[in-house]
Amino acid sequence: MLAKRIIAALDIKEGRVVKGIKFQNIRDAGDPIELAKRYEEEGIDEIVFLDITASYEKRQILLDLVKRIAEEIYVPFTVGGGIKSIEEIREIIKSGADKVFLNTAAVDNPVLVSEVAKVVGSANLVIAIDAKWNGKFWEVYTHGGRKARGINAVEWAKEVECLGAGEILLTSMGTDGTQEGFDIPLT
Amino acid sequence: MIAIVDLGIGNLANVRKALGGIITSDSYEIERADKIVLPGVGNFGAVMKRLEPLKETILDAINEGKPFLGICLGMQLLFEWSEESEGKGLEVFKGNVVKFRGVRVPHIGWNQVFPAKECPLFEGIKSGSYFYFVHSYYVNPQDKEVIAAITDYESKGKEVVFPSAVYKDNIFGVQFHPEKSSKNGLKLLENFRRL
Repeated sequence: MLAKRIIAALDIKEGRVVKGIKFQNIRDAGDPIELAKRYEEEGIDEIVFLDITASYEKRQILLDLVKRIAEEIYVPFTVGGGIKSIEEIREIIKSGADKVFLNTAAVDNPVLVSEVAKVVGSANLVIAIDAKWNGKFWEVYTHGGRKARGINAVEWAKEVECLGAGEILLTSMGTDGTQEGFDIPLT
Repeated sequence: MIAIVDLGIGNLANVRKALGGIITSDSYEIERADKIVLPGVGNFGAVMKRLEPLKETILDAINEGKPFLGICLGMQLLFEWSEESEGKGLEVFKGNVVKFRGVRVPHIGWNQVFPAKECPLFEGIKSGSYFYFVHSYYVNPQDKEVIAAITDYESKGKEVVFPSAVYKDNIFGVQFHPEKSSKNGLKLLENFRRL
């Protein structure tokens, strides 16, 4: 039988791991390879790397990191953050990532989801959703949690599944990094 | 030395790191190697086309008794044909490759592998250990004796039990990705390296 998976998520800025709480107060938390290896040693099933550098000029730093991870790590890993085009996705997969995830670009242009699914396959495409309770519904945020989009996260999750997303990476912005446990009502 | 056959798809760096040897698509280098690994992701027909120039070299090596390990699609290519596309495989084993039916595809994630017979690849690995899978097709050997391990995939209230490893003489194939299966995967690759 398939196992439930424990997935570690690491935020990356200019090739280093950073840690924040509720998407704020970002500080350095170490070398991505070292941390990933430690997680692997402790029995993690998968690792997600979120590049928050979000600057195209610095993409090469990320690609070099992806190559190093692919060489050193023996569990599947997913890479994303600020990805806008199929070209970037091809490069990341070619560098050795098992899966990529989209967030803002998918909300801006849902057609991209189905295009990417066709190119890399649904199995390799994850859609990340950042959500926050707005009093009425779980609202989708993009741009690293800076922009509310007025979209219902549950509806959006259903839509991306139809468009070909293989998995959904859901972050509850209200509890992120607080160590208060999972946001059960949201899931 | 181990030759890891590079078909220009996927990143093989960690396979090489685990096994040593070289990543190559040169038939002379493959000929000189004493073991061969054929990793593979993608479409059966498309990958077989890329493999065409190396086909004879690989078959010669297998016939000479050199240990051969096919990973994922590399295992499927050992069979005669696949429902995925037209054309023949390497035809080392009789049987074909079929699509999962009635269950969610791809079969993706960590699933248990149960050895069906003695196999040096699984030495020191507990029956029921978890390995990482990503695939929509699985092998259907005519000769059930070649099945080295099985896996049970349950989804949508249906259950498919499929061969997750095959083994005969010097020929090994695994449907899962040992290079993505953490400690168990490394142990399996180490077992192959030591053959």
